Amino acid sequence: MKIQHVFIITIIIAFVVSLLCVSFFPSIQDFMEYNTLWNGVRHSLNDLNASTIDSSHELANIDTNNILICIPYLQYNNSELDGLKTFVDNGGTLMLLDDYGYGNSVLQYFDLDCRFSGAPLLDPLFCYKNQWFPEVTDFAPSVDKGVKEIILNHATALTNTGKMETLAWSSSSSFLDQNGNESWNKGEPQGPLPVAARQKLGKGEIILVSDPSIVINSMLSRGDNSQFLKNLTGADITSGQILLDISHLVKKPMDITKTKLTQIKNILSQPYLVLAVILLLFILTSFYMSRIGGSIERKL
Amino acid sequence: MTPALVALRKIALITFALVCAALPGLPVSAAVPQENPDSAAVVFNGASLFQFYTNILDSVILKNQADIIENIRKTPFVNIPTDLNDTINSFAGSSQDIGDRMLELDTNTNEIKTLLRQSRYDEATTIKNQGFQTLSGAEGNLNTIEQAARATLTQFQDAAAAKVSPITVAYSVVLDRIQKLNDTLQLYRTILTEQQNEILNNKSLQSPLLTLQITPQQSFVGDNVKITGTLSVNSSPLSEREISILLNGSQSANFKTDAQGNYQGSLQVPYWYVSEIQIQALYYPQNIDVNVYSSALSPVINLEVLFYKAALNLTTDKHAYPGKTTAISGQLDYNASPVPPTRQIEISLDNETVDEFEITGNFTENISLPADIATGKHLINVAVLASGRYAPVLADATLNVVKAVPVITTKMPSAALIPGNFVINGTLDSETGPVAGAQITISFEGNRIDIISGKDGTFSAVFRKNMGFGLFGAQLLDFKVTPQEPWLTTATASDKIMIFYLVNCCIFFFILGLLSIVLPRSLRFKTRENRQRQLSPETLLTANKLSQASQTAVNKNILANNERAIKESDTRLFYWYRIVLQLVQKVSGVLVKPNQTLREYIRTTGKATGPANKYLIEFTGMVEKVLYSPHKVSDDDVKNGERLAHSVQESLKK
Repeated sequence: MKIQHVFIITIIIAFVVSLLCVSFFPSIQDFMEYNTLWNGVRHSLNDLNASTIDSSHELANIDTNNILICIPYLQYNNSELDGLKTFVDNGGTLMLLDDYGYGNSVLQYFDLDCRFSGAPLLDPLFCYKNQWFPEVTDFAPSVDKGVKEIILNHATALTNTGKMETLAWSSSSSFLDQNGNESWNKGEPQGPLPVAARQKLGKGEIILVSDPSIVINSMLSRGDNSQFLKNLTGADITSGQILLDISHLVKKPMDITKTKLTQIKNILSQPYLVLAVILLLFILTSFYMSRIGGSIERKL
Repeated sequence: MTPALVALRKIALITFALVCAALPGLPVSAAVPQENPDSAAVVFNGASLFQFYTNILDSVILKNQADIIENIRKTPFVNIPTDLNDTINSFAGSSQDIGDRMLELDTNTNEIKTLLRQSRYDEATTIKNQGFQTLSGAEGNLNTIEQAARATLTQFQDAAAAKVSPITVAYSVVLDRIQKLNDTLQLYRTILTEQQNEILNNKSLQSPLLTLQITPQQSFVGDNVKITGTLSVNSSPLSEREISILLNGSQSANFKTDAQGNYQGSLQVPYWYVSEIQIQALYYPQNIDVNVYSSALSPVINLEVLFYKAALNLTTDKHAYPGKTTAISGQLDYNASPVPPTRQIEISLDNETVDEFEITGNFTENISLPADIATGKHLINVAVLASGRYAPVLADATLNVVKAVPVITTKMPSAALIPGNFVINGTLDSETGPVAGAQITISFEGNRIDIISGKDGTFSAVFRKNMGFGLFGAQLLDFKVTPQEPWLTTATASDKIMIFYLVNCCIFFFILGLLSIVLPRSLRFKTRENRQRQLSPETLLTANKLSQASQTAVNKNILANNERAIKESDTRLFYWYRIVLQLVQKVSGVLVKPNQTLREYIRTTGKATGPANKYLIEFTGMVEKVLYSPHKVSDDDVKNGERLAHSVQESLKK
């Protein structure tokens, strides 16, 4: 076998192995739809019967009957912000889940006074395992149906909620750890602090939750997080109205490749392409067979 | 090691190296905004727990029942070691009890104070005794609270080892609150003791005797009963003294005794729709009687109260819709009682009055539901207000508020040709009637049209589908209905249509037809070409001379350089021999093995071919001569070969 052949076959095998790896290795990046581990959203998407959108183009064309969940870990550009504003003005519901991301730039664009604090919300008493997992047990009557507690994960709090309808508060033992020393110091805001709020805007409304981790696989089933989300959206989850914008999440090359692979898989599942592949295989096989010939011919 | 194995080893090594190089490219774990809750460290905070205890005790001290209950509601969510569960529950339970008991003690002491003011020492004694019992219970609760606090400190003893640590500071605050509560309980004890002393000091006063009679002892609400009785001390009447009549313990009317100590009067039975009212007469000393007489209570007399009752049976619509009216019907059953001419009705929805009206018998009332009412169960309360001898009637029912789902019925062709149009007709209906003015979005293969339904719920759309890459197949049409009315929900439906892409089908079948003609010809041509290449005498001669191992490579080389013409006679001889071989293969069912010579093959099939075998051996010898010697095929050889082929054929037929 010539060295060129060895090289080509090696490249092909490596390519196929890489594709298989990408297909079968679960993503481990935060909030990724292909991530079935604790920090992904694969199971959550199934639970909420939600689907994802992954481009600005899709963002600009969302039906206002949908509920759009945004986790702004990447900056929205002006045209995207404009799209979000139009979506809400026309009657859509935007649920902005943020802790340390770019949520405030969205709020600023919407001309709202409320802000995500950006400082960690710690609760040493009402918590799951440790103070980084605050348990929230105080809710507005509009969202408390079937909800006793929600558990947050490395959350923050909302500030300046003045005009907004506050929907959930942390406990009185919680505080914002502004200096990062993991204990309360004089001057640091103490609970109860708002962690969820909403406001009508135009024909639609904006809902803020100060912790996007509430939707990850390992958190949605904790406490009453899932029911709380359903109460917040008021959506009939069987209708598949919930959309998660994953275009503003930090992605690793593997996640991008997985997305592309899925797109290619979808394209390849088109009947005309399947037909073309079959036709190609048919021609190649015929060509090969014609070169080989029968066994008697080989003898003579 | 063979070259194939060497090549395989090279491929495996390079693949392994590439995969290893790619592995670091796989994602690494994400940074801080969240943490795996399953692997998170468990950290308890004793100081915060003591702070929580302090908050509860502060609520108890301030007698803020709402705060106490709220704190206790949150107790199950506190992050504490499992060992402390009983302790914290005991702390919370005792805190709630002590809070309740302190409120009870307040009531007791105030009541005693009032009774003492009225010289009602016997009643005061009873309540005082109750007060002391409550106080003992509260002291027991405080003891439990203190023990729970101490047990909590023991649990966190490692953290509390330092003399001044956040836990010891927080614990000392809890102890301070416990001390304050202890002081409060001591204050209650002092008050009760003082009240007890006052009762004892006045026990020596003269006790008057008070009697009471009621006629009749059975009466309708609103009617009058006659009250009579006497007040005396040591058989001497007490005149001009005020007697209070208590109905179920509450003062209701006053009468004055005459010169003989008798009192009498008429008392209207209140509109209390209860079966019985307890009536008592009370005298307590006033003015000059104070510090001379103690108070006096008559024995209790039970007055049987009569009134008309009715039963209300409510019925509601199976489903109610936001923004629409819903009917509430009621049937009043008075049993044997007389039926009143009119009654006043009040209807409440979720405890808010939504309608008031007068009825003359059974009723059916339509109430409007708000457009933004939540779907689900809602409570309907209907109150038939009390009227004279008629007691109020209350009944409730559940209203099931739902949004009606539009039902889409479509009428469209089962198949459509593309390019072309097809018409979709349909109707939108629901439990509430035809769905008018609803937006219908029809999506099909990336195309979408929006239409509005007519007044009767019908719609019609012409779908224009552009050319695609498909051939034919069933495809889905998705319908989404967005109604205007608040009582209707959005609905989706799908329907299938068989789509034929006419142009694509034509092109495809044309190509397929073309291939079915061209490919067999091409195959035949290729086969012949190969055969000719392999049968060239030079090729075969050279092959004979070379060793078997290198035969394949040499053949390939020769075939690649095969530029010479092939003689017609060679081809014809081999043609007949191939026919013979095919016949033998058919008859014997044995194929030529790759490493078998022609002679070996003829020998193997000897039994199956029988008499034809001798012709086969002769023919094989002739072919071998051509293949393995410089002998050139003559026309005689060809004729001879043809003859032998016919002989084989004839022999095999027999």
